[in-house]
Formats: sequence, structure tokens, C-alpha cells
Amino acid sequence: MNLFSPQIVMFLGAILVPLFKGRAKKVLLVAIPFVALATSHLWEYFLPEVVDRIYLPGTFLMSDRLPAPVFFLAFMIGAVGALMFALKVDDDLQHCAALVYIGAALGVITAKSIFEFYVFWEIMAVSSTFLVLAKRTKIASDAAFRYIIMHLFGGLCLLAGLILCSSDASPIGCLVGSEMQAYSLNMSDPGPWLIFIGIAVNLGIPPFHTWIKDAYPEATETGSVFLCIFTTKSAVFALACFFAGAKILIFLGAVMAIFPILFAVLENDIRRVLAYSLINQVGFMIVGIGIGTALSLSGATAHAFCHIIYKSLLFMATGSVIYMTGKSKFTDLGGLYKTMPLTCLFCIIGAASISAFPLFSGFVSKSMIVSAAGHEKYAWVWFILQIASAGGVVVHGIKIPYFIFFGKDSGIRASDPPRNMVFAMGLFAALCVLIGIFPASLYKLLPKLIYYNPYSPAHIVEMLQILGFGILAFVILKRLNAYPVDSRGITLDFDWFYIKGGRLLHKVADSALNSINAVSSRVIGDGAVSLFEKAFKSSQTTLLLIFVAPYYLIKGDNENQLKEVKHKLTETFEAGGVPIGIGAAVAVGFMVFCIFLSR
Amino acid sequence: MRNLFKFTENEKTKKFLGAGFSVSLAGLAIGGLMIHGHGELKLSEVPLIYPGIGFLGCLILIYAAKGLAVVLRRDENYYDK
Repeated sequence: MNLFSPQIVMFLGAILVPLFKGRAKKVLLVAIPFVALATSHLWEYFLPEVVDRIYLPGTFLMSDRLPAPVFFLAFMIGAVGALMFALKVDDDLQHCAALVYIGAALGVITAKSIFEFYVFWEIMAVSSTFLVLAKRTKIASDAAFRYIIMHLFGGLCLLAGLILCSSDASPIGCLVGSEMQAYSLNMSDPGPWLIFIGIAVNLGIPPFHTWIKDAYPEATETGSVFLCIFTTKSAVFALACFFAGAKILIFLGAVMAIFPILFAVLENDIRRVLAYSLINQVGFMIVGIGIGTALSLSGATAHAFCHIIYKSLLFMATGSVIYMTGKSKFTDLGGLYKTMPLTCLFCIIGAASISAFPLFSGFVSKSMIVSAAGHEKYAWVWFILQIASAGGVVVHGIKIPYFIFFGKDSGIRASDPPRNMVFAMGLFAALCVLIGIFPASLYKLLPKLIYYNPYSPAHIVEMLQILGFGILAFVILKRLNAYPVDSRGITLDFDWFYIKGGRLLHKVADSALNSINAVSSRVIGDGAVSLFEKAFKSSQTTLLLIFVAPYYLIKGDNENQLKEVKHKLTETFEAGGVPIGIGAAVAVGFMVFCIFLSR
Repeated sequence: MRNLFKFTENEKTKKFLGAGFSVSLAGLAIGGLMIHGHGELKLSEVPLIYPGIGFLGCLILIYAAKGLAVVLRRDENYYDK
């Protein structure tokens, strides 16, 4: 690893930030990602003369299927925006954790060996936990605990899988010496499956998705912006490196695209809705990776790129609302367009992008994956993705902006957030629109040279039909008061099994182990130990008597005299009144006796 | 700063937007019948499939979510009890 690599710059930044104060600290926070970008030599990859963008030796480790540089660029854009958004946060813990987290994520996608990949993967898990903990509430610390437990489980699975997949006899040697390579999932080989589970945890593939909806809403307002960028997208990159074309991913991705919508419809917490919609969007990417064609893989890459921008924008907008109002439930919000017009505008742009409205970024990337499913004749996948798009417009396209900024007037009159937050949102909103209007600028970055035109008349009309009639369904349901929003409460998810199961396990273990403990205490503590105590207490006297008895017998003492001698000796030993020499002799005798027995 | 969304408070504007939306939907439905798709799948060639996916898909998902709520919805303090 180069000493001046971007990840090292980020780590150094994390060390330096607490040493600075005031304006200098803000300048440093903004400068760090640009210094990291300067050390990356990223521009070399995007030079016009670089035709074969599959592998650029010495700059990045590249899988032969997916581009690290595109992810790298997206991560850097995300880092700049998120750091800008968090500029006024007066908490060094958050800044340091965020910088280490960004550095680790960059390390994951630029790793030159499996060892580097794994180490950065774990640093990413630990550093991101502090972004949840930084909220400093009981709920947040509980969520952070569940978050790290889940990621440690995933990390261990990943490590075990990487070791099993290596032919090297030494576990460390196999990791240091191995490059990332593609694996196939077959039932007879547990190694790739363990790697897959490790990555699936970070991707939020069911049943491992619960940490996303659990931790993201409990993180700090700025922390959740960082969280939504790096963990799942670095896992998308890893999945594409290891398992591109694995058909099981198509099924899992389709499930991920559709089921979170059901939960998001019922959810009352604004950031939890975004967390579910994040799972839904990652589902699209996983389908793209599973299909494994040039179009689908480019679509997955492009969608990850766009998703980083519009999802950050949505987390920034909702974070701004929470920051300015202190409220995070739909039932407590409404009518904020009157005093937070810019936040409202940026939120609508983010919602239009995630819903894939034409002229917004999501449209130009999501449609590549859906088209790839059609090209490859996966009719059921195509159908589910279209339904998921329609459901998406109701959930993250309308629900978030409508119930926060319009809907019933909550009476809250909070203003737009500080300028740095508005600037960060404005920057990302502009990118959403620019990518949507000029998709070729994004397609040029992709590693596979593909021709794709999202703006064919048929495609525009088809998408507008889905979105328009989806909105119509929402309007009708809202008029009929049939749209479920005004309900406080929680929806049980897969974490019910972890939480209730964990408590049951604790109860069972508690009662079972305590029973064993009680029996052990009775049998060993009261029985065996006291027996041993008696035996060892009298052993010295008995041994001495064995040695001295012949002397008294030869002397001619009768039975009563012998009893009296025994009694005296016992008393003397217990009182510690035996001269040291005799004690030592007895001890030596006892040792000789023990050695004799042991033979 | 001037309120960018002040226009949404005007009843006339609301009605105009509603009418525009309805006309747009009708135009899209008719336009969709006239424009031929990419023909990648037979399913995508079914007439009015996209409006159907948009409208019925949303209704099905929302009612499925409401059904799910009956089984899975709990009090906010459910895990603390």
C-alpha cells in the first residue's frame, strides 16, 4: 500500500482534525477529500486515450468485471458532500469516525490483496459504529451494539470464507498473497458461501437487512449521510468482484426490491422509510450483478453511482428537518414548505431521482437494469422490478416530501438549515439533474463500452405511465383516507427473531446453566471438596503416624498409649506446632509417596 | 427567502394542476397505445401494461402492507416490555 494513498490521507486527516479549531478545522475537513483525490491519480483512468478501462496497472486493483474507479469517484463525491454537510458539527468523535470510515471504504475498493480488503472491511464496520454511538442516547447505543454484532458476524464469515477459498496452508499467507477473484456458488464448497454471507450482511440481503433500518435512523443527522454512502455500496462492489453472474442474486435482488416497500408504507420514522428504500434500491443493483451481462453490470455500477448522490441528498434533507425541528416522525411533521422551501425543493429533486422520473439521475441508471432483465428474457424479474418502481414512487417519491413538507400543517415554523447544509444539498441536487439531463457523462465513466439510450420515446412514455398512475393510486387512496400513515408504532421485521430469540436464548441458557451450577455446587462444593479437605487435612498426620508407629510399637506401648500419641500429634499439626524440620521431613515423605503412587 | 411553493396554497392553481395531471394521464395512456415498445418481452407488449403496473401495483402493495400491519404492527414500546 502506497504511503500517500487516499485512505492513508483520510486516516491522517482523522488524527489531525481534533488538533485544529474553528475555521482552520472547517478548511481542513473540506481539504482532506481533495488531497485524497490528488493522491489517487484518478484522472489517469478517465483520460480519453484510456480505451481499455478494465485494468489500469498500479493504480487500482480491478476485477475484470466492475470498475473500482467509478466507485472511487462516487465515494469521493459522497465524501465531499457529506463532510460539507457536517462542517458545523462540533463533535470530533463524529469527524474522526467519518474520516476513518471513508478511508476504510476507499481501502476496500482499492485493495491490492485479500488481506487489505479484509482489514479495511473490518475498520469500516468499527468506525461506522461510532457514527451511531455519537448520538449518545440509550436507543442509539443499543442500535450500535446490534449493528456491530451483525457486522462482526459478517466479518467472521467473510474471513472464514476467504481462508477456506485459499489454497495456501497458512491463513495469513493466503490473505496477503491472494488477489480478489471471482468465485462460483456451489453446494459442495462452503468457502464461497461464507464469503457471500459476509458480503450479504453489508448489503442487507434478507434476513441480514435489519441493521440498516435499525441503525441508520438512530445515527446522528449527519452520520446517517455517511452511513448511507459507503457500507452497502462497497459491498455492491465486492459482490460484483466475487459473484458477478451468480443467478441466485437475481432472485435475492428481486425480493429485496419489492419487500421493503411493504414495510416503508407502514413506517412512521422518516429516516427508517429511507433505510427501507435503500434496501429496495440495492436490490436493483444486486439483480444487475446477478444477470451478469455488460448492460446489467454497467447498470448496477451506474445505479450505485447515482444512488450515492440521490440517497445522500434525501438523508441530508431529512437530516436537516430533524436538525431544525427535533422531530423525526411523519405524524409530528407537515407544512414545512412554508419555512424550509430550499430543503423542500432539494428533497423533491432527490425523491424524483430515486423514483426514476425522466430528467433525473435515477431514470438513466435504473432503466439499464430493468432493460437488461428484459433483454435476457427474465420476464418475472422485469415485472417485479417494474412493480417495485411503481411502489417506490408512492413510498420514497411522494410519502417523504408530501408528509414532511405538505400534508397537514404541524404548526412548526423551522427555517432552512445553516448555509453549509444548504450548499451540500444544492450540490447533490444539481448533480441529480445534470446526470439526468446528460446521461452520456455518466455512461462514459463505465468500464464496459455500451450504447444505451434511456430517452427513447417508448421508454419515456412507459416510465411516465408507471409513475403517473402510481401517483394516481396514491391520490385516490389519500382522498379515501385509505393510505396508512397516521399510525404510531413499529412493524416487526426479521429482527424479531434476533431480539426475541436472543432473549429466549438468554433465558434458556440462564436457567439451564444455573441448574448445572446449583448441582455442581451441591455435588462438588458440598460433597467432593469437603471430602478432599478432610483427606488432605489428616493426610500429614496419617503419614507421620505411619512413619512413627513402628517406633512406639517396638517401644512396647499399648493401644491406649498409641491413641494418646496419635491425638497429641494431630493437635500439634493442626496448631502448627511442629518444628520446621519435622514438617519438611513429612512434606518430603509425602512427595516421595506421591511419586511412588504416580509410577 | 421568498416561498417557492406559495402557489400550492392557491385553490385555482390546485384545480389547474389537478386537471393538468388528469389530462396528462389520459394522454399518456393513449400515447402508450400508439407507441411501440422495445419488444423485448411479450409481457411488455400487453396493452396498458404500464398504467396497470403503476396503478394496480401501487394499490396491491399498499393493501398488502395494510394486511401485513394487522399481523406485524405493534406498540412503540413492544421490545421494552
